Amino acid sequence: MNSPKVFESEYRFCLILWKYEPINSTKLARICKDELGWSRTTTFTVIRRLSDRGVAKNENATVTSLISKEDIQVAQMDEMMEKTFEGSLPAFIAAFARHQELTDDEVKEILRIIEK
Amino acid sequence: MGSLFLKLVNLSITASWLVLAVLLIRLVFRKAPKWIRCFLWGLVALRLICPISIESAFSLIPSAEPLPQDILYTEAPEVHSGIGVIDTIVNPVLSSTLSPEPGASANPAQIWLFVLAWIWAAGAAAMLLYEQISYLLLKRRVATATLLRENIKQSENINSPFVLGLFRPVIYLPYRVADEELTYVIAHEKAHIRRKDHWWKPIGFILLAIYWFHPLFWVAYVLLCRDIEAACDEKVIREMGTEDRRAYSAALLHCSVRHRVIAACPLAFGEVGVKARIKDVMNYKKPALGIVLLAVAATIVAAICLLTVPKKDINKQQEIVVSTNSRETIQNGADALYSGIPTELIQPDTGAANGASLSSMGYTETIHPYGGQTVGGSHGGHHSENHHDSSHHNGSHH
Repeated sequence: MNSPKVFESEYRFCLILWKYEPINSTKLARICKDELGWSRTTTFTVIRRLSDRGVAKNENATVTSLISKEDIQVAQMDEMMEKTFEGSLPAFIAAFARHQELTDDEVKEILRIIEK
Repeated sequence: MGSLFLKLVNLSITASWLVLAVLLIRLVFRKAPKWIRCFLWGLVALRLICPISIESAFSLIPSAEPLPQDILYTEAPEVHSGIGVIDTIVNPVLSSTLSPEPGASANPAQIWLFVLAWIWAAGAAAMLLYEQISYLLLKRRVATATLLRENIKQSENINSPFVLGLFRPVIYLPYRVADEELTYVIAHEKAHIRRKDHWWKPIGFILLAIYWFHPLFWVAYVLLCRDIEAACDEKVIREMGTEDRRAYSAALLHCSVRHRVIAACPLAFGEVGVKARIKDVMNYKKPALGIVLLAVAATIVAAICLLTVPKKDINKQQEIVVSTNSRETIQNGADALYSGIPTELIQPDTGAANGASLSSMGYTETIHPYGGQTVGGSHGGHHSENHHDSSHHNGSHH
């Protein structure tokens, strides 16, 4: 699966987009100003950049996402696993488990996800 | 623009004495609190900005106007640096190269000044442009930075934290700053804003852009940047214990490891000399009151003695007129041979000048204020031969 690269700041923008979509671009710019501190120009620049990469689209001043939150999260996770854990899932789980106290239920849930 | 340039050169020369004093005070009072250093740089800035000079009897500045404004029009251009040796060496060269040639349409001093003034203007414009462009580029780079809280934003396009903006300063941080370091990093940048460093640094750079021709101010700017960081660190750690300081140092180090991008920007607060700063942070002790008082006293003395210029004496001014006149006769007349002025008129003056030249090393204002200059006059004979030659040359053109 090849999800396009989304930068941290763009991800924060996407969080807003997923929450409000479909949304009028001017309205979106207003929300971005309040929540991200972005200027109108910046918001529109980012919308255009994300459209170019196929992450979002802006049609008739209505902005929608083309990729789901989960897809991007998975893509980011893949990238982090590749970078930090040399692509090893066990290494990642081990590090994750060491850092966080997991309840038995959570462990079961994780195992279920892995086996799926 | 010529006279503006001349004014700036004069200001830069008088201010460079103050810079030297600041360098000395920095060296002597290494243990004094760092804000004193920033204050000293403020005095230098004041000297460079303020076009009028306050006169005082305590001034240690050798000359209020080393390059007189009339250098353009006088027939015998010369400097009054207030230091006999310099005048003695420079003035004969000046008068032999820059004296107006009879028959030539423009005065060489004017041409030189014109050329130099334009070079200066181009350099200053280039530096200000560089500042503007790097500011705009940096601003564009952090356009997508997202709000963390209040005036703190995070961006993936930067590697080290800094403050940007004059009226509404914003702290920019990289996303990947560990939580335990975040507090310290923010404390540091907030201290910058409270200290108004986001104003001081651009002011420093603008002054550097204006006085770029003077190497001493480059030294001063680099040291100013360092002192600002050191003073800011000091402000943050003043009330901290050793543990906190260790953590603060670690944060400093981490932020500087990935640092590279910001170095090109003169405005933002990049990291300067991290090793020295960490040393300072870890070794910080509250400065002893005695040292603080001494450093403050030294600062006040420096301000009184080097921020002011020597009193202009009316007698002295008259002397300038007199000596310029006599120089005129020497030059115009090539030892009075051509102008027909009796040699006796000139001889006594030259004699006095030679007498003064003996004491020019131990020169004090009371002996003969323009001793050096009149020594130049004694070379006038030699010079006027050149002069004579060149007028011959001119003659052949006619």
